[in-house]
Amino acid sequence: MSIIISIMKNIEKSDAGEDDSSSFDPLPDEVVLQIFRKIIDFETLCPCRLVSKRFNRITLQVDTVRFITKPCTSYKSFVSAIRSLKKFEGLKSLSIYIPSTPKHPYMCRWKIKCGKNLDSVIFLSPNSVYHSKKYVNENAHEEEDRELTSEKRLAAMECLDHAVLSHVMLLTCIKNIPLLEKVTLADSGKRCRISLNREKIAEMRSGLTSPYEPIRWNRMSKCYVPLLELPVSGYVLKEAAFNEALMEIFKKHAARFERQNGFTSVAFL
Amino acid sequence: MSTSSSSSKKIVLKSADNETFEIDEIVALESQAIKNMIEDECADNVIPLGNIDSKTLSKIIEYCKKHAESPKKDDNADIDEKAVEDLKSFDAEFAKVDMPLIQDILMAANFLNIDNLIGLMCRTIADRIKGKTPEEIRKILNINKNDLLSPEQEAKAREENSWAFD
Repeated sequence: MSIIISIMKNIEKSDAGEDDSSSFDPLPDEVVLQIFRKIIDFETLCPCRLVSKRFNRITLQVDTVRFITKPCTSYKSFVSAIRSLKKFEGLKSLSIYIPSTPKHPYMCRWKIKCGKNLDSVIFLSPNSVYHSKKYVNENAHEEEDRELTSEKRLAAMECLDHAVLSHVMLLTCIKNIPLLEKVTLADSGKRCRISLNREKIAEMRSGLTSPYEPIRWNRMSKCYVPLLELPVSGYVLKEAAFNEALMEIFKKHAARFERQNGFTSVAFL
Repeated sequence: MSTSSSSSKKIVLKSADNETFEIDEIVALESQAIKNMIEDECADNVIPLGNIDSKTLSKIIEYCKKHAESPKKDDNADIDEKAVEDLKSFDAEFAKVDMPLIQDILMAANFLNIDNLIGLMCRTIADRIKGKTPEEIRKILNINKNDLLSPEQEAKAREENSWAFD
C-alpha cells in the first residue's frame, strides 16, 4: 500500500501548481508526442511547431511523416519540403504522395528498378482490361490504330519523366534524412507505387558517393502483345504495349503462355 | 491469480472527490497500473486515485467495462466482425466530449496505463487540431501563453514551413 501512496503524492505535487482549467502542460512529453504521431500529415504538423516552444520541440521528434507534394511536381518545392523535414532529426519513415492529373486518358502503370542509378523503367498500357479471359472476344481483332499508338508513345514519355523525377526525389530523401528506414512514393492516379525498405535504402545510400549515371535513352525499346493474361489475378490485358523490361518477364513465361490459345502471336512494334 | 476465481471479485476505486466506484476486477484489469498493483498484492480493497475526479473516473470505468466485455483480438483469431464494429462505434461515441474532459481522461489513462484509451484520446485530439492555425490550436487545447516562441524562433520555424504555404 505504501508504494501506491507515494505515487499519489508525487502526482498531487506536480498538479499543485495548476489552475483549475484543464491545460496541456501537465501531460508528459511522451503523451504529447503520441498525439503528434497520430497526425502523420506534414502539412498538419507544420502549424503545430508554431504553437509553443514545447510543441516545437516535441513535434520535431515525430518519426513517421506523410506528405503530399504540390500538384505540378516541382522539384524546387520538393527540395524545400525536404529541407524542412531535415529538422525532424529522428525521422525514420516517409510517405510521399504525388497528386497527378495525367494528360493521357489511357490506363497505364509503371515501375522502376533502381539503385543509385535508374536501371530500368517498366511501362505497361493495355487498351482494355477484362476480369477474366472468358469475356474476351479473341477473334474481334482491333485494327491497329496509328493515332492511338503515337498517343501511347506520349503517355510512355510522360511516365518516363515522372519515373526519372521520382528516382531523383528518392535519392534526395535518402541523402538528406540520415535515419530513414522506409520510404514510399505513390501517385494519386495509382500509376506507380515505389517502396524502399531499410536494406534498399542502405544500398542506395552507400552508392551516393559515386557519380550519377544518367539513363541511356537509346536503350529504350517497346513491344506489343495482342493479349496478356496476368498469371496471378487472371486479368486479361488486350493490346498491351510495354517496354523491354516487361518483355523479359514475358519471355520467362512464354512456354506457359504458348500452351494457351491466343498467346502464340507476339508482335513487336 | 486465475481468471475464474477473480471473475466475481470486486475492486473499489476512490476518486479525488471521495466518490467510490465498485467494479469487477476484470474491468479494473484493463488498467495496467492497477493490474500491477493487484499482482504485486499491494492493493487494498479500496484503491485511492487522488488525482482523478469522479466525472473523469466514471468515464474511464465506462470505457473499461465495454472493453473488458468485448472479445480480445488475441483470444480468438476469428472474432466476429460485428463485435469489432460495435467497439469501434462505441469508441467514436465515447470520444464525443469536450476538450477539457478529453485532456483529463488522457491524463488519467496515462496514469492508469490504459493503452487503448491513451490511443483513442490522442487520435481524438489529433483529429481536432487537423487543419487548424497555431492560434486556433492554442485556443482548442488551452495552451499556456508563457511558452510562446520568440519572434526570431517563430520566423525561423515559419521559414522552414514555407514550402507548405507557397
